[in-house]
Amino acid sequence: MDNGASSYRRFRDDGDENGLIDIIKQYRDGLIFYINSYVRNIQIAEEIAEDVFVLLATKKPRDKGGSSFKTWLYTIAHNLAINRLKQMARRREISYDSCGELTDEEAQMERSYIREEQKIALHHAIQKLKPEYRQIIWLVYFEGFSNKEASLIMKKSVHNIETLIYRARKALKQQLEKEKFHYEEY
Amino acid sequence: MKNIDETVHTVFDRMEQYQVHQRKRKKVILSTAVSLSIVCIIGAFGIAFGNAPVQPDKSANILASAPLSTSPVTDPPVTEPTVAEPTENHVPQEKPVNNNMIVMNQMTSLPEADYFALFTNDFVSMTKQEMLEYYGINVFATVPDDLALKSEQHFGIYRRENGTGDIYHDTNDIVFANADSTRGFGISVAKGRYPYSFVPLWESISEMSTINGVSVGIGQLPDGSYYAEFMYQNVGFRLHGVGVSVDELESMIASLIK
Repeated sequence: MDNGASSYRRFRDDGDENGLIDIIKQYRDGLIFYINSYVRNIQIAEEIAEDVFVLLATKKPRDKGGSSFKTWLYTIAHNLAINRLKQMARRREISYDSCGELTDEEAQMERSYIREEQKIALHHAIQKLKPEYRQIIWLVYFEGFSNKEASLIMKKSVHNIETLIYRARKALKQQLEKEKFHYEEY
Repeated sequence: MKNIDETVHTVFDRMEQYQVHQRKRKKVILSTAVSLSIVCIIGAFGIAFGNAPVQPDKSANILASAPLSTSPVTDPPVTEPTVAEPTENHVPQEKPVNNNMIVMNQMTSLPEADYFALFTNDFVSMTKQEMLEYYGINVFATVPDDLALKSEQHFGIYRRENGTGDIYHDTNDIVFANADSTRGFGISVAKGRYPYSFVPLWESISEMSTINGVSVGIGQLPDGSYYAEFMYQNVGFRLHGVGVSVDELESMIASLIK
């Protein structure tokens, strides 16, 4: 299992469009949720996720080989999300940390991507956390990245990531307790 | 929100738009390069018939890339070509002695001149020997006895960051002329591509000549001068010969292709 690296190489080196289609199918929803943890706007998150794929399709960048394809892809998403946040802040377009209700489509996507009820509840709870906590919890608990991979994506040291995870879990626990959820340690 | 198929569709649409945009951009660059190359050759040849040296003006921030000649090209006597005057666009001339084949295409005019900018601070001067080392092959043609390399020429390349960074322009113009500047031969050279362009510029060359086994595009202008372009050992050449015969042109090109 190479997490899409061979599909990407097929597209980049051989021009096989199915390679890119496979990557889009495999990663679109996860990227949207991850990016949404930055921008707090599912439409914008969707646009940025699309930008990630368009970047792969047009620039055909080479992954540096130091990490898995998935880590590299999420790093691109992180960079594009940060860029968009800066743009939005400059234009004062929206308050991206405002907490809105899930739209029907978003809820449907959530059900289809996350599937487990418990995790869906957890996903709802993390929406109320600080952006960095949302991001790290999504990466580590929902996408299964290691601390080291998360550190590469979020451009922080592993130590910082560990601290962040500790604080995020603490905040999440409080949030879940506030919402009367039974909290279990992962 | 879009479903997966819609996202796939959008991504491929945007990819196609990007490719169309890139093609358009390439076209614009190419058309600029066409004009540029021609102005350079004309300019280079102008030097042969004038006295202005080709030297970057260090007092200026930006240098027009075309060689700095203010002298117009005088009307040189048109030497009768040794091949029969072409009646059609392409007149193949078989030369069994050296297996070269010259196909003379007719050119109606040269494209409009254009300019671009180079930063004089980025210019790194080169001697003739350094030029030969840089290009890796001989770029100084063997010319008829009455022609000589114009002494005022300055060769070199342009590197970013005040001449210390990457090379971004390495086209040089080498001009030979006779004493009274009625005959001359200008050569523009660049490494890895045609001078000022990555592709052949002269679209009306539809029939190629062969000189020493290399495909060369050759054309004659209404004023009787000759234009040629070819790639040899990863160096691009564009030449303009005024007041020279086809035989002289051929032997000068052949001296570059050994």
